[in-house]
This record gives sequence, structure tokens and C-alpha cells, in this order.
Amino acid sequence: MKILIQIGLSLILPAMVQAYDLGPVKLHGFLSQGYILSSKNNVHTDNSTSGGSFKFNEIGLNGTYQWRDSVVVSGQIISRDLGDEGNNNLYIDYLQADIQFNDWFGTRLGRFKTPLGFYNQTRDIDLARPTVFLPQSIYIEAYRPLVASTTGGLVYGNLHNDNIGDIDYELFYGVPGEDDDSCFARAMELMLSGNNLTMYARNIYGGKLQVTPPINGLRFGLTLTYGDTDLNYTDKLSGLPSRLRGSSEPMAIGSIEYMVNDFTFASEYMLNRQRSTLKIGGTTLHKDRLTKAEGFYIGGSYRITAKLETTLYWENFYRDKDDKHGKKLAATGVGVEVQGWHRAWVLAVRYDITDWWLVKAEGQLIDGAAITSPHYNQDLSELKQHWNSLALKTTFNF
Amino acid sequence: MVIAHPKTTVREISQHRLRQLYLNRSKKWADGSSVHLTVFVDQPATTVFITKHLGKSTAQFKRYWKQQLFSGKGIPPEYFKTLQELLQYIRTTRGAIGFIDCDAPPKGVAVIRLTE
Repeated sequence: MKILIQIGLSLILPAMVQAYDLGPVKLHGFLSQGYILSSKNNVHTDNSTSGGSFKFNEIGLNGTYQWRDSVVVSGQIISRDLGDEGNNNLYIDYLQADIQFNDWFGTRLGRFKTPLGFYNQTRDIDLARPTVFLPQSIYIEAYRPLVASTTGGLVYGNLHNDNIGDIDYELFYGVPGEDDDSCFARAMELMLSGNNLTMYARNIYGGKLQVTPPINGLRFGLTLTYGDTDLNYTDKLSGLPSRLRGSSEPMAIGSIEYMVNDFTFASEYMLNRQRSTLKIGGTTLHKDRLTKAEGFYIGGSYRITAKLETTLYWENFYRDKDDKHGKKLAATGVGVEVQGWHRAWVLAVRYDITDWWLVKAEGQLIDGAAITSPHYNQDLSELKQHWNSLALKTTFNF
Repeated sequence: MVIAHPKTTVREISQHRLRQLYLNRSKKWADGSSVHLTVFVDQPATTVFITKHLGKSTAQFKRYWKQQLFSGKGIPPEYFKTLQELLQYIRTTRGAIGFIDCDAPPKGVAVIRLTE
């Protein structure tokens, strides 16, 4: 079934250059195919170092229906594959009823994209950005199952003041996604030396504030997100039921973006305060242990011609800012020092062949292995500090 | 020249309000009915409006609306390549609004005065 959908879309999408109307429902969609190659360390897939991997695609179908003047019902289904993640299973990316009462108050009910930083809500939409991947210092692929979408309720609105500019807010509460087969779950199963790991995402809530001052092209953002997730598993050594409970208290992201002429400058900073409690059987191994993951990137994109855009940015990430060299991580026995940090220079090029077809290339010079997963690099002693990656991607959309 | 569906009761609109509509910050007319945005591509007035009033290039504007669409936040404008298609849509779609380079008001649409 999945293969038929991919083949069907790949045949019809190139012929479609605008939205397809199914009566009152407007349909849009996209189809992306990528390739990842890396040196020394596997990233996002299990064989990126062995000739590269094509297990990297997204297919999406989006429908919007306006019911009278007050309610817009919209939904998006996605089939994606990134290494062992997704495996082109179909899932609901969002399905929501959007009711806007006035400019300063509206609500979305159902499953909606989680507001997190400037770019999380379009993280699976290749055509929405100039690079292949979002900066991993902020938008870590491993966390995607928990932060891509939320089922619950969200309120939003816009407030305007001639001196301050526009203030856009989103406040939300709900339950995040959880995927027991995700690479995050499998990686945690390895790190915890457990079996039969299941995720129970208890809640996620928070808010995003965006300020657009009366300076064309400039905007600032602040996101605060809280959430609790349990990982329940069987400890391999003892055979006892065990649980790792984690809480974000909060994940804070500060953002700035400035567009002037053909140049876009962007920078974001993330601090994720996480508390964790680990129990094996009835024994608490650690309680309320605090780690502070920290990430930052700065860079810009420049549109060279109407169709050609290039991006350069530098990013830095620590799994725990109080353990920048990974020594505490190595001492726990669940990781190695080089997994403590990630630094990278990233250069990307995007070429829009037509309005509905684009190609991209992205190279990364990387220092540190914090973004690698033990699921794809099971012998952690083989992880190397200095390595590179190359990603290619093409996307059709209508 | 800002034009709208002939039954639109709005007779003037500020540049700020027009900006709010085309950046998806506002989706309704004062009477609560939905606004349906249009863009006449490849005309100078469109480029001037997008760059001067929205602070974006044409490519940034298109990408902005794709971000809105695929994150479930909004319905993008209808894009038209000919004036006839644009006018036909505005004449027949309640709540539709657009802007064109034109000295004389086209027949069958309401003209809305653009204020500071």
C-alpha cells in the first residue's frame, strides 16, 4: 500500500502545479526524496557511512475545508522514512478545527503542530526551508516523536500596537506524540540496557510569543515548553520492571530572524532543563537528576538569483552544559565522551527548478557525536570526533 | 487599486489592515465573514506591495504562505496569472479581495480606498 501511494504520487505530482480542489476541500501535497552520506559515524540511518542511504523521504497530503465563516477544518497525513524511523507508515500529522473569533483570539482543537521555536511546525516540510535539515542544535531529530505534533487544544491571536508592532501568541496543552518504535525509543532502550521499552507521554504544554516590531523583516520569538514522559521497560540484568521519568522544566527557545532584501539572518538559542528519575524495580537509582541541554546556531541565507539560494550557519550543542566535555556522561557508562557535544559548520544550496520542484544539497563539517544515535552506532567506542556528512534532496509540491 | 467582491460593505482599508490580512494575522471582515485573498502574479503592483508593505521578497512571500499552509495555520491566497481570471474569482467569491494596476475601476467589483 505504501509503495503504491509513493508511485502514484510521484507520477501525478509533476503534472500538478496548483492546488487540487475536491469540491469545497482544497488539497495540497508534497513528495521528497533524499540521500545521506557520512564519514566515520552513521547519522539518521544505519548505513550512511556505507555508500550512503536513500532511506530518507516524506510524502504528505493536506486538505482544508472552510465550514461557513467561522470554522476551518484541516488535516495532513504524512508518510515518512528516515533510517528506521517512520518506515513510510501513514500517520496523521495534524487534524484540527480552527475557530477564529477575532484577530486576538482563536482556537485550534484536535491534533496540531507544536509551536516550538520558529521552525518546528514545518520541520517535516522540506519546501518550507532553504536547508535539508533544520539545525540539530535546536531541532534534534531524536526528539521529533515528542515535539512534532500535540493532541489537545491551542489558543492563538494577534495584538497590535503602533509602537511595539505585532505580538502573536500561541498557548497550548495536550499530549505529545509517542512512538515505541522510534529511534529515540530504541536508543533509550540500548542506553538503559532494557527490553520492551514503551513510551508514555503524559503531557506537553507551553507557549510561544512572537514580536514583530515596526521594522520590516525583523521578528523575535520566545517559546517555553513543559512536558512529562515516562519510559517503561524491563531491565535486562535484573528482569525487573523499570521506569525513567523525564520532565522538561522548561525547554526554552529564544529566536531572532531578520529578512532584508535577498538576505535572511536567523539565530536561535535553546536551554532544555530536564529532570529525570530512574527506578529499577522498587529501587530509585537517581531522583530528580538535572541536566541542561543547550543549543545555539547563527547564520544566514542569501538568494543569489530568483531560483538559487545558499545558506551558511554554525551551530553548537551540549547534551548537558555542565558536562561540555562528556566526562560525566562517560562515567555513567551509558555513553562516551565524544557524545557530549556537537559543533558544525553547515553549507547548503537550494535551487527551485520550477514553482513546484526543487533540489537541495547540504554539507556539514562536524565536531562531536552528540547527534548520533546508539541505534545506528552500537559500538560507541568507534564513534569519531571529527566527521562530515552530505545530504541531497529533491521535492515536488502542489 | 484594492478591489473586492461587489457585496463587500467595506469602503476603505488601511495599509496596516491590508498587511495583517496578507500575513494571515487577520482572516475576517468586520462583519465576521471570511476574507479570501488573491494575488495577481507578475504585475508591478504585486511586487511593490509584497516588498514595500509586507517586507518580503516575492519568493519569501510564497514560502511564508507555504509554511502557513503546511503547518495548518492558514489558507494561502489564490494566485492568478491573468486579470480576467482574477476578476472572475473576485466577482463570484464572497469575501474576496485583491489589488491590481488599473486606472479605471473594473466592472462588477467593489473598489476599496487604501488609506495610510
